[in-house]
Amino acid sequence: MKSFLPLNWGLPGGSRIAAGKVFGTAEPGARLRMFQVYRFDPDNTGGPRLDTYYVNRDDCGPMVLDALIKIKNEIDPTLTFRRSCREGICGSCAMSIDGRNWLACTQPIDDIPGAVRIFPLNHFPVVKDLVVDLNHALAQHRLIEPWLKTETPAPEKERLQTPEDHAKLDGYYECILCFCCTGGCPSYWWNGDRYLGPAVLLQAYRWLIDSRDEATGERLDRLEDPFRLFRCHTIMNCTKTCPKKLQPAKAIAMTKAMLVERQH
Amino acid sequence: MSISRTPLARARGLGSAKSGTADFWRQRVTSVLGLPLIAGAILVIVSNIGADYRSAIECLRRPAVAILLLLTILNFCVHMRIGMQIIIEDYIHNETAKALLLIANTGFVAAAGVAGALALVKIAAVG
Amino acid sequence: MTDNRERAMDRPRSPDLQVYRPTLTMTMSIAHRTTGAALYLGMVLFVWWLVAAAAGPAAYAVEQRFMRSLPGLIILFGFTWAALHHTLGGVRHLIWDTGLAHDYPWREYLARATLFGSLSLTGILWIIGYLT
Ligand code: HEM
Ligand code: SF4
Ligand code: SF4
Ligand code: FES
Repeated sequence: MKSFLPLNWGLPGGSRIAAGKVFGTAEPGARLRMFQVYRFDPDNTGGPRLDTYYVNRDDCGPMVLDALIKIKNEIDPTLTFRRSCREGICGSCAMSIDGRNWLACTQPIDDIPGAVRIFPLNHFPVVKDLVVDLNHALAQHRLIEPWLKTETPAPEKERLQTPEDHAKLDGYYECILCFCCTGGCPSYWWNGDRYLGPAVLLQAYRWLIDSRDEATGERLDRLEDPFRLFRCHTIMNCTKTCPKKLQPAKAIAMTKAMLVERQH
Repeated sequence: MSISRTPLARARGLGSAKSGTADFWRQRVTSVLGLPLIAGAILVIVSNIGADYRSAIECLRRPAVAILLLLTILNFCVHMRIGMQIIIEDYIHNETAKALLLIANTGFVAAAGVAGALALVKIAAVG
Repeated sequence: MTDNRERAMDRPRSPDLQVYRPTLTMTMSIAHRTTGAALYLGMVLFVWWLVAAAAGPAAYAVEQRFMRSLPGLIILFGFTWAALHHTLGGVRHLIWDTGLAHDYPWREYLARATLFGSLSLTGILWIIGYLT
């Protein structure tokens, strides 16, 4: 099964995806791969559409991002997407590839059977093509105040942290804020206006357990909310779709446990 | 969506409700306590499939069975009220409809709980 | 970006369930919710049984006639499975809540165990119930 619902099922009018243009044909002989890519052009009147491109795999790098760059350079210069580092560290090329969210630059084309279907991160408003509007998600990140908060005057040299305390941040500080997880979270789809989503909650946890931070209680107060935190129902989509192999669902479970702990 | 609000204002919204942990914890407590209760209740239900009136009454009026089923009903009334409230909050975004459904949820659970408990007490006391 | 303000305000939503590849944990999560809601409604049947027994032989006979009819038996069978599946799913939730079994492949094992466990337990219960 490719998905729970057919392509346009339940989508509001302006979000429905029409059949798009086809660039090139499937020539026999050449090792061609078919890419179906979501397109939306804010400067024209039409709604979203799904364009088809054929890319010669023998003449293209191994990753999905390589194919997108090749399409943009050689076939259709209007195709728009975000990318920067092309090595899985900047987090800009997150998108829905073959039914899960991943970084285009670390997703091998050859791991995907059949047509490669590419959409913007799920459920976000689309600015253009594969570029989504992350303003709200980034404002939610700002809400949790993702920086060290202390009142004790800063020491002469650096703030000390034992190797053991530092190791507690392993698996959490590596988050590159690509929002693959948040884009794949059903709770965020239904209640993203109030629910903070896995990426932001993992960041929140990273600051909750930093031994140098002095605002733990204040941070917990901010999260203690039926919507901000407790909309998470441990569906696990986030953990499965994290391209850095982090575990947002676990960070959220441990945050809930901290809230329970301070009540009893 | 109002464009006169900044993204941060929208993200902060009405602020933290400073609650949610209590319901979460109560849901877990009733889950753990529910494990032995539901095992016992299923056994009572299955062993009474097809039982005639007299033998059902004989079974239900035994103190151990009555206490077990009373606790089961009370435990899961708490559990299912929170559970259904979460489902309603997840999917219903119209504030009026949400308020009415939350009230109906409490009403349904209270009615089921009181009816079941009264029936058990009556059987235990009168037969 | 576009200069057209109206169009910038009314952006399309990227598809979600229409393109998301189903996973076992997501399916089990949906099943946990569905069975929870089914048990919520099933509470009516349980209470009906108790109230009918309390009300007397006539009311009890009406209840029994329904429960022994084919629709009644199907509902009762579904209720048993829903109760067992939701219970095992609940245990899975409790394990995840403590932070355990979030890694691959344990989370998949847990999801599979809920499904196989509930199906086989339901079968066993009904076979025993049928034989006795
Ligand atoms: C011992 C047996 C049971 C256990 C261990 C259990 C456990 C759980 C847990 C852990 C949750 C929370 C899931 C989440 O956070 O998303 C839950 C939700 C729920 N439970 Fe149970 N439960 C049990 C029996 C029941 C029964 C008998 C009913 C109904 C009469 C019920 C109704 C519900 C409902 C309606 C929900 C909400 C579903 C959702 O949010 O998706 N549960 N249960
Ligand atoms: S575990 Fe929580 S945060 Fe992760 S996808 Fe599920 S609901 Fe979303
Ligand atoms: S937790 Fe993983 S998927 Fe989520 S934002 Fe961080 S790196 Fe991306
Ligand atoms: S381009 Fe930087 S993560 Fe893919």
